Amino acid sequence: MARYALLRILAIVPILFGVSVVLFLFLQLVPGDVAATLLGPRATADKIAEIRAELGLDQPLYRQYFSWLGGFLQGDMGRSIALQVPVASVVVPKFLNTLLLAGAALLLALAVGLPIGILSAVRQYSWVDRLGTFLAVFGSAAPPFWLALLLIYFFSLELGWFPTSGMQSLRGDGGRLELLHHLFLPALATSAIPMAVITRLTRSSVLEVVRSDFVVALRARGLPSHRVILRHTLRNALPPVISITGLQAGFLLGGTVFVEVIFSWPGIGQQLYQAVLAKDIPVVQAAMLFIALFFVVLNLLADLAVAYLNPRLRAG
Amino acid sequence: MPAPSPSSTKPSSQPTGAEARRVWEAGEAARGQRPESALRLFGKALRRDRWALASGIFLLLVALASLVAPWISPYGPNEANPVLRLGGIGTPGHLLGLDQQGRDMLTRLLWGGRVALPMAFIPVAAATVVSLLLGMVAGYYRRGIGELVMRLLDILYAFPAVLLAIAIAGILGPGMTNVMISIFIVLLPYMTRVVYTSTLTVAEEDFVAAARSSGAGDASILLREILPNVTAPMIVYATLSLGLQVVFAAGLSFLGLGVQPPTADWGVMTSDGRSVLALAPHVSMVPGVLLLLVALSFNLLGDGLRDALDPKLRV
Repeated sequence: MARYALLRILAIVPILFGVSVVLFLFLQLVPGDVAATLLGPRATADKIAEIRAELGLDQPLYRQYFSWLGGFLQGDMGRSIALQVPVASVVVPKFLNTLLLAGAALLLALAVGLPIGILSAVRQYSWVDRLGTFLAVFGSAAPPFWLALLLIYFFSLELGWFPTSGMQSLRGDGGRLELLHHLFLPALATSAIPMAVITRLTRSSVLEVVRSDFVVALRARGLPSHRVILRHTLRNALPPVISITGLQAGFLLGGTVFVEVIFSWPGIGQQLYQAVLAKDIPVVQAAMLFIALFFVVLNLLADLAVAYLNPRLRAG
Repeated sequence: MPAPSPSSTKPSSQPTGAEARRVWEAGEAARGQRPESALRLFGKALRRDRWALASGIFLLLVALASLVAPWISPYGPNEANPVLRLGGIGTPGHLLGLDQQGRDMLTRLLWGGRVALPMAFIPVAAATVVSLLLGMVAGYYRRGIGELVMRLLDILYAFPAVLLAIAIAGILGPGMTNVMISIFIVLLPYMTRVVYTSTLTVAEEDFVAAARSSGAGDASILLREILPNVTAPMIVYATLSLGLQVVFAAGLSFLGLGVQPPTADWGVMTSDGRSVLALAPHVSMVPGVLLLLVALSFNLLGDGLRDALDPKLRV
């Protein structure tokens, strides 16, 4: 297990190196003269020259890369061109807001998806099973931006139960309860896809184990049904669910972007979107780096959790 | 036991080429490993699975209607009737209502398909072809070039797909072509991995070893033995992926990073309706429902194809 974990952790290093190269090349993707595009149409020649020097655009590409990477490794992620503040001060708080939204969505997805998935498998073709199938089919096909608008229309505009946007009310007390009140709809909209995936995968994984010989044998020996399911079936059925949940947690960081824009949730997706519109490349690079780092680490943790639960891998 | 003299050997024990082929084919068929042709796969899925059939018909109708939109749509896509602005579903002469500029929703949906469908189909088709090439070569030459290709694609895996596509499309600037480029880039690692994995399995099969021992070169093995066997899983994957990409391409236009208004596009239309959501929810709900149905249909068709390809994978 320790050897496996070490190998998996070491494998991240070249990937992160590649990630940094890709992000660096983003700057080269900007059509036309980078400095002029970044500054917009009203830029003076002096200002353009200044930015060119600041970004090191007058130097060869590999030099530019290493000085950029060097800055990053020392915690200097550059300055936002549009906002004129250090990138880190923009990106970090936004990232935490996204983690909150993605975490809430994942909890919702698990809270609904796991029990429905398990019940669907145990009581195949029952109404729970049909409900699960509907959730899975609908959730995986519903356009997230449309779903967000639908929820706003029903729950905010028609029923008036939840606010339409933001994290806090204008004249609110800023308390936890108020935050939860604002969090619910965006989290629900975000949870549709992971809920669909988790429901479907839990169902098929449990079904497979329930039909296997050892479960039949346990039942034949007269073990009560709930013990067979809770102690023996789930232990064998959950590893793939855990691994997919890890992946989904990573995808959630990307999946929140539509919801964040529509609900004005001040997260990293919305920030990335605004930076992309403003061609604020340093912010785009920093936001993507944060997300990639998190994504890679989450996948690693999911892999390690699966390995830990699988005795064959644990020993090797 | 004496060694058989040449004269004692019965002619039938020296199989001719045709016989050997028949024996081989029978064996393969028995093991269910004959390459599934794309056409047969679709036939099998549509015959067996009512949902797949209904989805296929629906998608065909949507595609056809979009194709002939200029001839069948009752109005022009940007023709406005200000008097009936925001008229709801069922307004006389406007089956699906009108948007805030008084444009006919049905007309714009029909025209929108001419943008929304190709914007997903072209990059998926291109990524399918390129990933077949990359994945097969990487899976066949596993040690050298294969390792390199897969490690390079691993880098793209480190980004959540949606954000990577938004960043690429946003930096390249708005427009249909840039949306398609960004979707193509994002799909490539996922599709290549599917082909790579199937190639690894197929390359171990006996018939590949048989082809090699009968003197077939690498190119011939890749094209004649491996390609037919990895195409079917790829078609399943591409079909399932089309549903996601239709929604995602519309999403980029919704965000203003793709097709620009006033072009009729399902994403642009949903976005148009955002500002009048309280007054006239149908303006954003109608194109959204169409997107949902199209995505749903691609999913059901893809599920049907997957079950037809390998019933064991059914979930």
